Amino acid sequence: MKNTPIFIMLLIALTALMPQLNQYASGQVVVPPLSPLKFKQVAIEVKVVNTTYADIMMKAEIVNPSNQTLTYTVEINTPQPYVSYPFAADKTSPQPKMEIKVVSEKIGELKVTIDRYGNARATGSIEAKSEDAIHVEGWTFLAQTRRLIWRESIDGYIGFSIRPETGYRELEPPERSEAKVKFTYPAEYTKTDEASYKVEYLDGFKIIEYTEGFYGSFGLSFNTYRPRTPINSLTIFSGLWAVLVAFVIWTKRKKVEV
Amino acid sequence: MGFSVFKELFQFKWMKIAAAILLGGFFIGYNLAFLDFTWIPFPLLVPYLGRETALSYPYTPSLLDKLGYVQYTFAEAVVVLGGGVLIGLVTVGVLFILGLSIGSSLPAILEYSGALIIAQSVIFIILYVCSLIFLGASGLSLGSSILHLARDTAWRIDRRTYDSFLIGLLFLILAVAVEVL
Repeated sequence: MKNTPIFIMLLIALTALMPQLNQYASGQVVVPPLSPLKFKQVAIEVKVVNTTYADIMMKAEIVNPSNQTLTYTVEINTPQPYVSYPFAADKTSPQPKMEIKVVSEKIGELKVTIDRYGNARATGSIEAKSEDAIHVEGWTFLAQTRRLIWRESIDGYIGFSIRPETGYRELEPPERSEAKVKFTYPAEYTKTDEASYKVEYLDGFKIIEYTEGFYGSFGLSFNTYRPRTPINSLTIFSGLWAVLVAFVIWTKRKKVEV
Repeated sequence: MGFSVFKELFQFKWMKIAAAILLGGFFIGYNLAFLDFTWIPFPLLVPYLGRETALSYPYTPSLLDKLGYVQYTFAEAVVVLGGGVLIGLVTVGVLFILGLSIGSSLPAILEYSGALIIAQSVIFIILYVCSLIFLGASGLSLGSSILHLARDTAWRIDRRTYDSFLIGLLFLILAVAVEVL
């Protein structure tokens, strides 16, 4: 008798779950269709000129093997300065400093919109059973949010993506392709995983090239740094310790006199 | 007359305690930031200095943002002073955390900002620290009086509490003026 309410609750929960259980049992699970968008060749180039400026380039050859015209979105995400308050985020957010040009070989230049968070978007379309090549070119300001004292680092991440405009969340990612990535950065900087790549030097810059899996998007993290000598803060640091030592000696002498 | 007030205040017990707590926090914050322990989120507690630390290019904030900084600065000063009513416990905690905040913001400003911003920030820090020490002394003295009241049922408050409050307020107004510049 004591267990009757628990039994009733279990019964109700089981009844509520029955439709879902039935769906799996009868094999009626909705499998999202694969995106028809395919990539033939993808080349990505990012040249970090200094801590605040980078050139961006991408060329992607896309194929639409389906029987319908497909609308796609090209998106570039760049690191932009963003200041937040502890209890009132979004209070200050300067306009992003970047310029992106997207050109489709078949339909010409696409209109690019840039939002306040540094995301540039352009929308184009590719006809059924056809191919196109999309060229992305531009530059961006790089926001440095980590202010290390003993290391000067170039932080940041640039994201590239090409995806079907509608319903991309429901769709599986496009087929895997290979993207050729070329990353150039000032020679005095070291990339944290530099040892894994063959590094070439050209005109005061280091160049690394590699291929990476491309499922419709790719993110390039910079993670480069160089050592620095903090003259100003070292002076204050020495001053603070000198004052502390002087204060301790003064206090000790004063107590001895008493 | 004015000099004797300052002399009296320098002998004020609570003034020394407030200065020790705030400067102790400042010392710890500065040293940790100088040694690249950047996990400290405290620069955000002083938005004016937090902005100088975070932005990597010259940016003139809007008047609304400047008023936001003033709002924070004033709110922090009010908590330091008013925290005295809880027998000074809140004042002690806030003084230490603000000391940490200011100290941990300074190295990045010294290393990455231009001469004008450094000068403005250093002047602001000096005025703000002075203001917090005087207001903190006033708050702690108030807390001590409340504790006495609870024990002896007699209200006794040191005259220097008022002097300390007035001078603290003066420094606060000067710090706010530098912030808005």
